[in-house]
Amino acid sequence: MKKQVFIFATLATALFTSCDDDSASQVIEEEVITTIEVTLTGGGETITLVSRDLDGDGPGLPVSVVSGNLTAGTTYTGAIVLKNETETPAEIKNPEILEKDEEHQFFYQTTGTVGTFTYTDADSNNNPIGLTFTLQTAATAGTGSITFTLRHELNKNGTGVDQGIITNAGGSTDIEVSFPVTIE
Amino acid sequence: MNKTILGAVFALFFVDFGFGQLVKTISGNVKSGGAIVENAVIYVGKKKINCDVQGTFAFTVDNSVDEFTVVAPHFEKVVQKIGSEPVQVYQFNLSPHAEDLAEIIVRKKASLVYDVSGSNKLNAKTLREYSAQNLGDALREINGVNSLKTGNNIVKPIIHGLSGSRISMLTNRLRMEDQQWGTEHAPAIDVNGLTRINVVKDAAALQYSGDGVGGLILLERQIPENDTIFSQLTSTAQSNGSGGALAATFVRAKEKGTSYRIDAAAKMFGDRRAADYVLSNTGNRDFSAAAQLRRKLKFGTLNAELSYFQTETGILAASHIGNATDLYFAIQSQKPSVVRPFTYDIANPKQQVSHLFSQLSLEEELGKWNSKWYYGYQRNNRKEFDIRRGNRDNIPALDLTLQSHSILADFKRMFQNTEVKLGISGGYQTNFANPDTGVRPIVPNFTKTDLGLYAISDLELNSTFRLESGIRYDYSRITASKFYQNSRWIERNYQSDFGQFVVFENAGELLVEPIFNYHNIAANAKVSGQISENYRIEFGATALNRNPNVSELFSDGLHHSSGIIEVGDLRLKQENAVKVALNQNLTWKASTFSLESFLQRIENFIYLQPTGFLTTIRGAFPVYEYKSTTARLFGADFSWTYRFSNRFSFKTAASYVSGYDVRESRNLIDIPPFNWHSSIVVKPFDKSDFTLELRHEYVAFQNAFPDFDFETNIVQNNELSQVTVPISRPPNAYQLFDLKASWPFQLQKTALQASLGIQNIGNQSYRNYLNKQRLFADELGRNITLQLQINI
Repeated sequence: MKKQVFIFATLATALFTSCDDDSASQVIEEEVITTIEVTLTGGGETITLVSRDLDGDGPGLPVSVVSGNLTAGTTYTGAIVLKNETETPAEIKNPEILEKDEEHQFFYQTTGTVGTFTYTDADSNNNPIGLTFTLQTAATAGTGSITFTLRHELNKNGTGVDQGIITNAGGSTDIEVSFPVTIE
Repeated sequence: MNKTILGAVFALFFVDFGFGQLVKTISGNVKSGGAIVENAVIYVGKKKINCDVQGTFAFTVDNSVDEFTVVAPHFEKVVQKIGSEPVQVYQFNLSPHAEDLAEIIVRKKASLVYDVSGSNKLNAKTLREYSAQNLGDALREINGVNSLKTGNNIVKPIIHGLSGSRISMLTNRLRMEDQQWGTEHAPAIDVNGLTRINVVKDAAALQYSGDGVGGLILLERQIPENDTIFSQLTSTAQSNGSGGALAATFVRAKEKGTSYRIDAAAKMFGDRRAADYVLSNTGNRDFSAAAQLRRKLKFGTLNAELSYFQTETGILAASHIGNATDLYFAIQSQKPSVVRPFTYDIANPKQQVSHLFSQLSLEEELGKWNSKWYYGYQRNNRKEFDIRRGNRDNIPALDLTLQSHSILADFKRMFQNTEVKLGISGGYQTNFANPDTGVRPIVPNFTKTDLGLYAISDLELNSTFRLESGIRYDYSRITASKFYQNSRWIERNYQSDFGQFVVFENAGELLVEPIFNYHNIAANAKVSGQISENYRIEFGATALNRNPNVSELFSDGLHHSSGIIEVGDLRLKQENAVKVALNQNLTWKASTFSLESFLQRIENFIYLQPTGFLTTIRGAFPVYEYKSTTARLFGADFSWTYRFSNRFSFKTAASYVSGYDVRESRNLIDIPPFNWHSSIVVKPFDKSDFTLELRHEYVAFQNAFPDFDFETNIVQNNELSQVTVPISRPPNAYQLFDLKASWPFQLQKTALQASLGIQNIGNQSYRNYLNKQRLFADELGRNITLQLQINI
């Protein structure tokens, strides 16, 4: 009995005193995309649409800024840059998309008066990626919104997906941001 | 005894009319501990002689035969030398087969702590039938036990409507330590190698835990107590998933000296199939091994056990979604958005889980006290691999390691008509969330220290009634270390209450190291009465507390598999549960009825409540917060078994649970719908144990569900429109038919059993409310199982 009590007590003491403090290490989230910058160049001007969400799934809301109004009846060349701005300097995430370009695609959805988007890039299967595009703005002035959606592991062979119709794309959304726009 | 004489007379009859050509007449009977042994068979060389229903046999042999063998299902075989006398009468007293015996011994021991009515246990024989499946599936055999699933392989038991960390699970006395990790974590143990499972629904076994608010599951892997040596091999093939399992056991047991047991099992499955499509990425690979050693020494019995389990499980491809819009489209599409051709490959998302379990114990008589001392060490690891960008597919998105040390001492002795049990336990646990994942972990680093003390008495009031009562004290201390985003810390308004725990601030995040202390007292009392030989009644009341687990306290972030943001709450208090249970058992003629009913009230019941929406750069996500409320549960499990004859029996069992949130005046989520199981067992042949079983399962539509549907905005036809994401409505009622045929037979001296099973005969497509993936895909379609069991 004595022996057991001794062993038990020793083990118990060991358990209760062995408080090796395992402090958490800060996780560097290299993979996250915090920022989307859309540059529209046309009609001698450059308009940028930027949305930034530094805390990701934290409660802070994304902050979106549109630099100016678009001109009616104009063809804009569009380019999208994705960044992780939790790192300094900010990391450009476009190469990660292009590396697995057949798994990614941008969709552009509009409401109100905006215009027509056309993909200008393609992956190895000749399906669109959408990091670059053209926007033919509507002929008349008005207001509307553009929603940029980046889908990952989607079905690019779904009906209408290569035409930019999101309905049958499936997959999971990596980016979904809306910008209000004015056509003048 | 009369039968023996009759047998002898019968034998003499043979001698008289045998014209002296037959040299010896052998007769006798086969019993075990005075009871008749059914279906005993005598082998004389290759000749087979069946005993009659009373276990009586008689046969003649010539001089060339010098031995015969007595074999009966569930009993150790006996090889008998034949003497030289012309008339020989034998009385065999067979020993139960090792695995059955282990069960009997366990039952005897167990009955002193709690009474497990017949329907609440699974024996080795039943468990073996589930060799290719998992523990959660096997547990569903018990009326009132359901499973909370994430797909087909991640299955957690639900007892009386409660699951997860509200269920304490123990293996050979040691608590399994991994249920803190949230709903997508199944108990890390293989069903192969287990010799018995007890489910304690009324939460009354305070010796084992003080926080099993929903109940306890006691898993046992035992070495038989008697002298025996046997090996078992079970091979199972299944059509659905085109896979199978191979399990082997070797046991060498001695009443004195050294005994050991070795178990090993492996499983492999490819994609499962629903009725109409392949469930892509639902394969799994499991491996388990266990070694046990028992040494009987002069002063006591030493037990050592080491076991290991690992699994790799694919997560249904179609369930990988992003935001609320994706969820909306996934639900709308009815069919999974990803259906690929069948493959054995497991792609991301997937889970890899491993569990190392070790235990050392010493049992010793100390004067009038029986003492048992235990030390246990467990190591759990869980890795989740997600679909990631930038060649990160091989870096786990979650990598948790939980290490637990425990020490226990149990003492018991009899004082006249009272059995007293006392005990003390201590635990030390660390959880490490690997930061190299590059994803903020859902469960933080923490250290937990536990101390428990209990005292139980089991008093025989008179020949009819027994009173069992117990009290238990538990102390837990949790020290956690977690980085909070500044924005979350502010949004939760934690600074005023927990500001003292902030260590430093860096790059928009705060390192917080909070300390929580919990003191809990649990108590129970139960009266049981064997009113007559046919009627038994138990009435018990239990008060328990459960500490909030680490996911409930610390969760903060996106849950990829469900597309929701889960937010824990540091302010959560212990759950306080009171449960009363009334169990009745009645035997009437050939029928056995059992009715178990319960009523439970839980204050500070912790659950996930949808509280709103969060817009991120990835779109909008519903936010669920861990909140506490007052829950009320009640229900009943009913079963009726009717034995028409030795050849034909019928069983029906129904289970109903109601769960209600008293404070919010709405139903609780994930409460099992009414379910009703029936089976007919037929043994068509007298001389064979061939058994045919037809099962029927009916699961009702759960109309008591909370409405957690939410609205989201999607762009349709050039317009922003608001749609409802219908996540709440449970699937429709369904019924399934299963068929099982098993044929035990003897080949020389090897006992075999071949069985064929068909699950979901009609290849029904249906969905299960308690499956987290019900929003994305149907349940499994038809499955044909072939199994061969070999006992040597």
